[in-house]
Amino acid sequence: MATTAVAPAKATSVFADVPEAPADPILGLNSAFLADEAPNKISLGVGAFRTDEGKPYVLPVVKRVEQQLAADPATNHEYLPIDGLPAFQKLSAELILGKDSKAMKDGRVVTIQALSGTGALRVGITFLGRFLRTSGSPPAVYIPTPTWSNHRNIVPDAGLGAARTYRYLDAVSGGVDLPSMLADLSDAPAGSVIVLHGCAHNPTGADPSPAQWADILAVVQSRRLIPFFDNAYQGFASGDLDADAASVRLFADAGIDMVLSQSFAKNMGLYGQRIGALSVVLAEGTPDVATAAKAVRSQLKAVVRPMYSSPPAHGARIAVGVLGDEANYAEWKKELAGMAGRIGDMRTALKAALDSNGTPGDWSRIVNQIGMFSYTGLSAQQVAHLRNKHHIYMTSNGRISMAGLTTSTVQRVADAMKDAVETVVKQE
Amino acid sequence: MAALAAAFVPPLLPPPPPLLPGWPGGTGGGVVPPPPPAHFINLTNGVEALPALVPAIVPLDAVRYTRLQSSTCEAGDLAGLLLHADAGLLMHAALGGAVYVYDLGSRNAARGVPRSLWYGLPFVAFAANYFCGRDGSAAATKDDDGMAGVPPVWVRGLNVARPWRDACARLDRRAKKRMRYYRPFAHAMGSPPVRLYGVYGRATRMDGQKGACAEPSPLAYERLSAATWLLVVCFAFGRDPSPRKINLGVGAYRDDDGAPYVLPSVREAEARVTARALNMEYLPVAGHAGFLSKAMDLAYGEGAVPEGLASVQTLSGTGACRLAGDLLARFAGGDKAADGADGRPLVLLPNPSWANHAAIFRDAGCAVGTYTYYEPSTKSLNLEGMLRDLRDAPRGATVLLHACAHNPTGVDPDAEAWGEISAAVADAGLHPLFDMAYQGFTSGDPAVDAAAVRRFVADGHAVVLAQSFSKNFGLYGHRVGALSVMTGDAAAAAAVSSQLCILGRPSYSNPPLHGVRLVDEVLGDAALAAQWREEVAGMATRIAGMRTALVAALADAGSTADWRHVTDQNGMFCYSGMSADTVARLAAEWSVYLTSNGRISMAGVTSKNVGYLAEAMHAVTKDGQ
Repeated sequence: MATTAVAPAKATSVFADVPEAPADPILGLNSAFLADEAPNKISLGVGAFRTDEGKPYVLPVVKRVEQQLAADPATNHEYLPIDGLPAFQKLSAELILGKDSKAMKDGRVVTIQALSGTGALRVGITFLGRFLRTSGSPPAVYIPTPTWSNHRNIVPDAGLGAARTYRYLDAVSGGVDLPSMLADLSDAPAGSVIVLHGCAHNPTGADPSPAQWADILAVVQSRRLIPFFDNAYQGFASGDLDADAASVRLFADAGIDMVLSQSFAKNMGLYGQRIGALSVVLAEGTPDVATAAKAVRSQLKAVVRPMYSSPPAHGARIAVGVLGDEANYAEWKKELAGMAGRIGDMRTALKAALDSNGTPGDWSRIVNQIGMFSYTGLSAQQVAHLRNKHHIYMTSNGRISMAGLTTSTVQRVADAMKDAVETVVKQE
Repeated sequence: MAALAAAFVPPLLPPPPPLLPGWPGGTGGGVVPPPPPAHFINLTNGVEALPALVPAIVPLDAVRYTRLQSSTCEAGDLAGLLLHADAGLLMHAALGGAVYVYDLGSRNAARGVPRSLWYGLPFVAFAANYFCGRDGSAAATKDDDGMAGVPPVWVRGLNVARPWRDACARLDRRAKKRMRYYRPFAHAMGSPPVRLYGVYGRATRMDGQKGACAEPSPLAYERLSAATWLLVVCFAFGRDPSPRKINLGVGAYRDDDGAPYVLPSVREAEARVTARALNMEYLPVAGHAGFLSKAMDLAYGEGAVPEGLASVQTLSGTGACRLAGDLLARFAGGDKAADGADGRPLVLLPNPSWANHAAIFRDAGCAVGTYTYYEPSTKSLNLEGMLRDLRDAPRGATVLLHACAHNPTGVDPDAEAWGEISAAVADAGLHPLFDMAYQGFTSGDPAVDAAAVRRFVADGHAVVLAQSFSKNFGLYGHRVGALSVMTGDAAAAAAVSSQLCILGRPSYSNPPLHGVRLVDEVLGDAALAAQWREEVAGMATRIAGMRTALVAALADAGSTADWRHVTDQNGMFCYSGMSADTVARLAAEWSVYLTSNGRISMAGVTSKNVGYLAEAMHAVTKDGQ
C-alpha cells in the first residue's frame, strides 16, 4: 500500500531566479579594507567607537554588569514579554524624556523594548502605517537629505511606500540649511511623519541649535506633523545625556503626539546585543489616556509578535544593570564623557593638522559638527584617491568616523587629505 | 447592526474555540433533548465581548444579557447574586442547557479575572444544582447534616462544597423561593447537572463604555481570538491565589520542581564566554559565521550539508519563518503566485498549527491556507486527508511542515508517512518549508528529530528550513535561530543570501550576539557538545516520563477514558482532546491553566503535581467529553 518515495529529479528552488542584491556600500567598504594588505591602512568607515589604540571598546561598567549576570545563579534564559523587560522600558523612557517628564507622569508614554534603533524605527513606522490615516492613506514619511542610509529602506519595507525627503544640509557651510528644511516641512501634508535625528545627525554631524529646534517645533505644530525622533547617540554626542536629549524634551514639553526610537549601541557600546526602545508619546489633550495607551501597547505588540515574538534579553539586562543602579549610572556617565571627549579631541586635532599643513579650504565644520561622524565635504573622487593612494577608507559621501582616528594617525590622515584636495579637482 | 458587526470580521480570524459538545445521550431522561447552548453577556464590561461573538459564534439575536455584579461578589452577598441573576439564565440552566457567560476584565489590571466569573457564576451554578439539579435532593430534604459523599466543588483549588452548602441552607426566604421555582422544570428534564461556564478576556479600550454594544471593535476580536488566549491564560494564572495552581500554558521547559532550567552546558559556555571579555561589536547582517556552520551541521548532518545552501542567523524560529515569508513575498509572488492567492505567494499550514504561523506569513505579505493534519476523533494524524490536500494544492505553493514535535498536537508522521508526504509534495510541485523548533528535544536525539528534513533533502526537494534554539538549548530569551534555503548552486545561494540581508537590514540591521556565542561555544567543544546531548536527552526523557506518569495517575484517579494519545504524542505538548469548556472548568474549578484548544505543556507537569492534575482532568472529563 505504501508508495515508495522515488527520488524525483532535483526540485527547482522557488528562489532559483532571485537576483543578487547590490552590495551594501558600508559593508563593501569594510571588505575592501580587510582585503587591503598595506600595513598602514586606516579605516574611517565603521560606525563604532574605537579607543585611541584603534581597538573596539567594552565599557568597564558594562563588562562588570555582564560578569555579575553570568555569575548570578538566578539568571535564567526565559522569554521576555513581547514588549520586553518592564524595568528596561521605564528606565529607557526616563533616560530620554527626563526623570520628571510630565508626559510620563500623565501616563502618556508607551515604551517597548526594540532591536536597537533599527528595530524601533521598523516597528514604530509599521505601527504608524497601520493606524495613522491622512485622507484615507497611510501617512507620508519624510527623512532628511542626507540621512542614515537605512532610513530609506525601513520606510518602504514597513509598507509605507517610498520615503519623501526634506532638505537638511547646507553643503557649503557643512551646517543645517534651516530655511530649506522649514520650507519643505511646511509643504508636508498634515499628519505626515517627520524623521528627525535627536542629536549627532548621521552622517553629517550637523545639528540644529536650540533656537532652530524651536523654529522646527513651530512648523511641526502648525502643520500638525508627527515627529519621529531617532536617538542613536544620546550622551555620546556631547558627553552629556541631558544636553543630547534637549531637542526631544523641547518637543515633549509641547504636549504633541510624537514617537521616539532609542539605541544603546553607541552610548553603552552594546552594538551586537541589539538593545533599544520605541516610545509612543500621546498628545496632552488625549481623552482617556490610560485606555489609549493600553490600546497602543497592544497594537505595538501585535506588530512585534509575528516579526520576532519577543526581544533579546541580554542587552536589556545589561542596560537595566547600568541605568537602574546609582553607582553604575554615575560611572557610565563618566565613561560617556570620556568617549565623547576623545572624539572631541580628535576633531580639534584633525582641524589643527589641516590648518597647519595648509590644506586648502575652511575646515571649521569638523569642530562644529558633533557625534560619531564628520561630513568632510570631500568628493567621491577625492575619497577614491585617499583609498587608492593612501589606504585610507571612508564612505564615498566623504563621511569620516571620528572614532576611527587616533592620536598617532591624525597627522597622516590630514596630510593625505591635503594631497587629495590638491590633486583631485572637485567636480561639482 | 449584525451587518455592521460582520464588516468587522477580520478575514483570517482563527476559528472560534469549539463550543459545548453534544449533550451526552440518556441523561435527559430520553424525553426531550436539552436546549442548545445559550450565550449571556455579563453587563457592563461583558458588552466588549459582543463583537467577538457576533456573528462568528452566535447570531446577534441569540445573545442575551445578565448582570452578576462584581461588587455583589465582593460584599459576599450570595442572596443578592441569586436575586439578580437573569430568569432566562436560571431557566436555561435548570433545563440542562449549557450557558456561557462572557465577561471582560476591568481596566484596572490588578483586579485580574472578573470576580463575577471565578466566584459569582460558580456560586450561581452551585445554588442552581443545590435547589434544582442533581444534588437537588438536598433542597427537598431541607438542611440535612450528612456531608459524607458530597462531591467537592473546587474554586481556585479550594473545596468550597461545605461553606457553599451551608450558605445555601441559610439563604433568606426570598432567594430560596426564587431558586426553587425552577425545580419542577429541572425535574421534568431528569434533573440534569447545571452547566454554567464563564468565558473571559482582558479589558479592551472600550472598558466601561456602555456604547460598545452599538459599536463593535476589531480590537475586541483580537482580545478573544485564539491567538491571544494563551496570554489570557497566563494572566489568569498569575492572579490566581490558589497554592495548588498549575500553569500548563507556557511553551518553555520546566524541571521537576517546576522551575526554569538553564542547561549546565550552556551555563558553562556562558562562564567561558564572559571570562573572555569579548567585544560587543555588530555581527554581520547574515549573523555569526561559526554559529551558522554548526547550526547547519546540526540540522543536515555533519558532512551532509547540501551544496548551494544560503543560511542566515535569525531571531529564533519566529524570525526565521518571518524572513522566509518576506523572501517569498518579494520573490515568489506576482506571476509565480498560486491561483486565487491574489498575486501573493501561498503558504499552506497544517490544521491546526502554532497560533503565530498565520500571523507571521500574513504580515509578511503571503496568502495563508491550510491542509488537513490532525484527526480529533482518533487524536492522531489524518494522513489520507493530508496527502489528498497536498496533492490538490495549487502548484508552486509553499507547504509548511513541522519537522518534529508538531505544535500544538504533538502528533508526528512516522518514517513511512514522511516518505508518502515527500512524494506528494514532489508530485504536486510544492515547496517544502520546515519549521524545526524542537530538534533533540523531541526524541532526545538531534539526528532522529532531523530525519524528516534529511529525508526531504535526500529525496531531491529544495528545502527551506527554520531552526530555533529556544527549546533544545534553553535559550528562549536570547532569540537564537537560523534560516537556510537550498538553492542548487553557489551562485544562487549567494544571491539568496544577499537578498536575505537586504530584508534583515531594515528590520533589525543585524542579529543579536549573546545567544549565538553560547551555541557556538557548546557545539565547538567536543566535550561540551557531548554534555549538551546528554542534557537535551534528559529533558526529553523527563517529559516522556511525565506522559507515562500522567496516564498512570489518570487510571489511579479512576478515569476509564482512553488516554493513549498522551504517550503517543511527541515533544513539549500534549493535545489532550479536552474541549474549550472543559479547559474553562479546569481553570475555574481546579486552578489548572492550559490553552483553550486543550493543549497541555508537558514541561509544566512534575512528579509533585501529576497526581493533582490527573484528579482534576478526571473530574472534568468523567461525564463524557
